[in-house]
Amino acid sequence: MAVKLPIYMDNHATTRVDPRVVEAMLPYFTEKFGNAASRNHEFGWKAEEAVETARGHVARLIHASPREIVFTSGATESDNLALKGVAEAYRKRGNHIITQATEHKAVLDTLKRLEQSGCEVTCLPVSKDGLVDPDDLRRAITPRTILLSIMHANNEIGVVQPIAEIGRIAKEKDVLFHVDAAQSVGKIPVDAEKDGVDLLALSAHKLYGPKGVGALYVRRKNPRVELAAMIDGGGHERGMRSGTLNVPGIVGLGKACEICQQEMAEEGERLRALRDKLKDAILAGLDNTFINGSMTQRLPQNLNLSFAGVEGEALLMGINDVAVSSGSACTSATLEPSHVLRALGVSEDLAHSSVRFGLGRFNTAEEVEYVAARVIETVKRLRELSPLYEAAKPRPPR
Amino acid sequence: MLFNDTILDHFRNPRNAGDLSDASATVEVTNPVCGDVLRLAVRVEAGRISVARFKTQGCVAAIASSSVLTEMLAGLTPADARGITAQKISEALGGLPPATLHAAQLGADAVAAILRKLSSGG
Repeated sequence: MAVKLPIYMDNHATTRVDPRVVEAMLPYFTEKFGNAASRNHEFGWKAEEAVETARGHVARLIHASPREIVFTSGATESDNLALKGVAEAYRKRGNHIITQATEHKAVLDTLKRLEQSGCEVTCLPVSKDGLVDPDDLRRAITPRTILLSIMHANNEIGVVQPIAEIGRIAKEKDVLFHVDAAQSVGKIPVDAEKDGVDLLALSAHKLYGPKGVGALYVRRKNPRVELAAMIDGGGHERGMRSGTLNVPGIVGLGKACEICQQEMAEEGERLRALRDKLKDAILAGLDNTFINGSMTQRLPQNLNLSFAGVEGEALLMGINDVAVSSGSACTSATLEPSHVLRALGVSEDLAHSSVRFGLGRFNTAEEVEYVAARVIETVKRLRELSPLYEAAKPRPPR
Repeated sequence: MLFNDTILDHFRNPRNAGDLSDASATVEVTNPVCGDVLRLAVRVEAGRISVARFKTQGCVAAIASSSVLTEMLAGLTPADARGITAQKISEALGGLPPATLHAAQLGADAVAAILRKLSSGG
């Protein structure tokens, strides 16, 4: 069975826009180009109507009310707005924020910035499976704590944090709970209401929508979350995010959410089977290969493996007709490997040898077979080249 | 990261990869930061390096640098080999991307180490 090359299997980085999403967006560039804030003519009304329909689709997918959805430029902006907005609005009540070590840089770097302006940040460790311990969280809460920021699914290892349990702790201790859900929305069920989430960041391009658009869920009751705006000018999005709305992008986000709502369960099962097939094939063909992160508390689309004796970037270049990514940082300024794998206690060597496979809507069983075969062949070739990977041979004199 | 065709060719078809059974000297050098490891072996005959072999665990640039290094070494006297720097290894590959120059440095470190070993009698 011939496969079309190159194969894209890096769906945690971004996803291809679903053709149905593109089709829904197109009229909003041309005949329906109006500004959603134009109240006095039909062009504006049509744009506004489309935005409100999209808001409904986003809200339904995460079990929120449409009035709790604020459109942004993506999850990074949403994380910034949530963290900085809460830090400023709740300054009188406290300045302590709790997070955990495997968060995305959109959260970690934002919190670093807040530390410089007087916030205190506690960064909790994770287990070797990549999970934060809710008891650690409970113990870290002080009277000065205003916010917990814990991601839903991790972008490198796909590990899913116990957000329902953390939400209960947040409610019990009366602190706000922000969730970076960029990787989980549209992939696994998210229920902001039931899970006690107060703020939640999501992004369109991770769920087969366009780049440059996302949303922040901001709870309106029990409690009503106060947020200081980061962008002023016109009072759009109930004052929380000014700026003319990206109508085609928002329409795309809405359509992408609608499709996920309908297809997520079936698609998740299909991709879980493909992911497991990929894992089983690679593990059957190679020894000294290790799974990073929990296999049970994990996105069905994710596989992250370390191959002893192989550097990740070399492996990626060796399988250059397959697009995946690595936790290696041989070409970055610091040469430091993935902070996520290091937080799990993975050794530097194995962190440098890690590869992330992100399966998505458009991957097929034939592609999985091809990728497994290419990985096995390339790892074997690179191990032949390695001076460290010669189990049977004696070491040369130094 | 865009690599030129020379780098990719050395990465995909490494020259002189493997062990050298009757080596005059063998060294193993490591970049402690990124963990790249290069084992370099040479045989010296009639005052010149007749064969150089390598094994490398590392990134694309490290494997390509090691490969081209073995070609550069062949035929040189140990004194000539002293002139091999990271810059020269990079040039032999048509220019490594600046962020990967540490890979060529690993090669230059291996040359320095093997020359020390040769002068101390292997």
